[in-house]
Amino acid sequence: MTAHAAPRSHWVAAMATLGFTAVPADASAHLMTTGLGPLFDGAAHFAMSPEAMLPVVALAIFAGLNGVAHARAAVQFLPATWLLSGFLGLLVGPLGISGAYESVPLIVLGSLAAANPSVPVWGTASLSILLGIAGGYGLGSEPSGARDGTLAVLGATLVAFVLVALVAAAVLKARWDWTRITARVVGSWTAACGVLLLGWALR
Amino acid sequence: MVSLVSHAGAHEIRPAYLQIDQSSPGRYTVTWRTPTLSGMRLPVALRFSEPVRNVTEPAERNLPDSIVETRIIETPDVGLSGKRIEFVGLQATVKPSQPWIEFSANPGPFAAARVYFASGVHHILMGLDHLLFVLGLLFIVRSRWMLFKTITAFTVAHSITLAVATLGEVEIPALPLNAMIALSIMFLGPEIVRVWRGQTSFTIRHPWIVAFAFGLLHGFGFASGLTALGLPQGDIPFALLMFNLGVEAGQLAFVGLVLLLFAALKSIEVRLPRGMELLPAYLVGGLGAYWTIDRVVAMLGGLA
Amino acid sequence: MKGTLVRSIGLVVALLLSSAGIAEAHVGTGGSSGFLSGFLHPIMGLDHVVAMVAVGLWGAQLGKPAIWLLPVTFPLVMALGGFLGLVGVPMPGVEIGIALSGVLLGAAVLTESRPPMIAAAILVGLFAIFHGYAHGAELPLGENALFFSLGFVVGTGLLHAVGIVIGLLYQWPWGKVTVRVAGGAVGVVGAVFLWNAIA
Repeated sequence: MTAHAAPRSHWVAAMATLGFTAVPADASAHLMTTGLGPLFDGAAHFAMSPEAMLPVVALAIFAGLNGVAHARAAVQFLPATWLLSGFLGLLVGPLGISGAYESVPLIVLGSLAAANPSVPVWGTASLSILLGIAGGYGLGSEPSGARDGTLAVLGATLVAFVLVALVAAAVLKARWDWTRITARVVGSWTAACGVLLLGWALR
Repeated sequence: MVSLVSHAGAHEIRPAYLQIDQSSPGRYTVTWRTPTLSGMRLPVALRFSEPVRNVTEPAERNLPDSIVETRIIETPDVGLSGKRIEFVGLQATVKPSQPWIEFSANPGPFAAARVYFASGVHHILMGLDHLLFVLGLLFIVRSRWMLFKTITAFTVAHSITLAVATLGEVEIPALPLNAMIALSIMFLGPEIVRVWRGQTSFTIRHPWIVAFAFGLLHGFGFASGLTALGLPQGDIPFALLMFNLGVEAGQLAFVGLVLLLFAALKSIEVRLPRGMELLPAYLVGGLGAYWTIDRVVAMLGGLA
Repeated sequence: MKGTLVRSIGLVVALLLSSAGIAEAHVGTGGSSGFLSGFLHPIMGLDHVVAMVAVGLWGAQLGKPAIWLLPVTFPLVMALGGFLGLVGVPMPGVEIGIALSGVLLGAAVLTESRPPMIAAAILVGLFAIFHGYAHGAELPLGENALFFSLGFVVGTGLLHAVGIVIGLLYQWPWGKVTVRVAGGAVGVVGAVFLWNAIA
């Protein structure tokens, strides 16, 4: 992210992640993978990318706080657009836009989840569609070790679907004041991370 | 035996990756991926301790973000136990850590337990057909008690056949077995349709009997996964137990996740659109049918 | 800085060595080290720890709506401070500001003062900006920025939670005394740091 950093520092970064664990696997295990095939690789890639996960969580919190209709809109629109946009990303490839944009979904959706304003249902639906487009494209276009990009996109979409459904339902069911506050705090943390990330990208 | 360096989705962090697969006694395929940064290669090389030698020289392949090096190595004696792989170049960069790995000659019981447990989890998650069968059962059971009975029956049944097959009492050829497993999934499709239409059948009244019967089949499938992994001489029951526990852990995690998701979708009031209510049934049945045909063709091809 | 890096590498290696198994093999290790160093960052500086616990204590003392407004807005304001530090906006007297806010917050808790909501918000907000400015921008070499931020924000939030949980004692008479004593202790620590910052 820091353009001026010497390559050496990146080597150090790479080294920092060198570590070894002896694990079993059968012959089908391949590079850069969980060893469970492209579907799981795509899912794991998503689950390991907080810049993709956190906006989904924030959207789910926002939708859940606003009620059933909003939660339903998020659960229906996000995975559908995520899937389509993921395939598009797979076909077109990375767009090469600045990394600073990565922080936008974090800041916008995190702040919305924290502030908990009332919006019409179509507002939540539009946010879900926008996030689906951005998030799906981002993960779909990223080069990965998975051999089968289609299945990887499907795996990531499944995780996005499960995540948004579970979080939205949990927040929706939270009638207790403290649980709702906790959900909003998570939104606030997401937005705070986004602001810091933007700072790093602009530095 | 595989040793791998974990991968992270993060951007600046580009881990290296090492995988070692045994191809025959004393022979191993080594895959070593090193990340590249703006065309520059991570200055780390592999060095094997004596008497390991290269059968084929390292062949390199360039990927967008890394270089992958493949080679075959050979050891004259018992294998890689007690051998060491050094990472030349890593010593200079990371002082306090350990720039090599060693294959322990005698892995402790805990390490072995972990290996077999993990491969059990691995096997159930890899086995999309097993998961699909369980998913089909979840669509059929109507109450918690029924769910408990059904999952327990499936577990008991496949544990029995997994044990019997691993201990070498019974042997079933793989191809017909796989076709039968696929058939068991296809069988559930029409049953889910019946549930949705409010009809009833033997399966819907007693799903646990069906789960038990087909569970016997699926257990043979798990056994083939375990024997492919290789079993320790002398301590087969222990490996079997850990593998079985791993399978159950993976299966329970899957069932838990699916049930949570069902509950979540119910509370959000998300339903399948009109005219597509039978989609799950067609998905389970269709995939079952596809695999059945695919595997029967493979079986006939194998005979011819 | 160098010590932190070496330590975090050691941590990564230790984590990796202790974790085996297919299911865990993909866990982002670079991530966990970045998260850990970010998480430990606010916890390592005593001046920050006591001031943030004091924020939690005060929030609990003031009751609703401060008690829930605080954990929701503080991280955002703090991130704003970190942002200012990252883009290089000069801010003189950060260390003095942090120490001073420790003294003031501690004194407020000790004396059970109830200023208007706005005044309390400005005091806490200033402290949040100083805190973020001083520490949010210190990304150790080679760590992932997002994981570090995440650890930093979560670490800060949990320190508040500690303060709020202690503050919940406030409903009992003996708890009132405990909370006020804790506030006094925060004030003393803040004063020591203030002395060091000025001297």
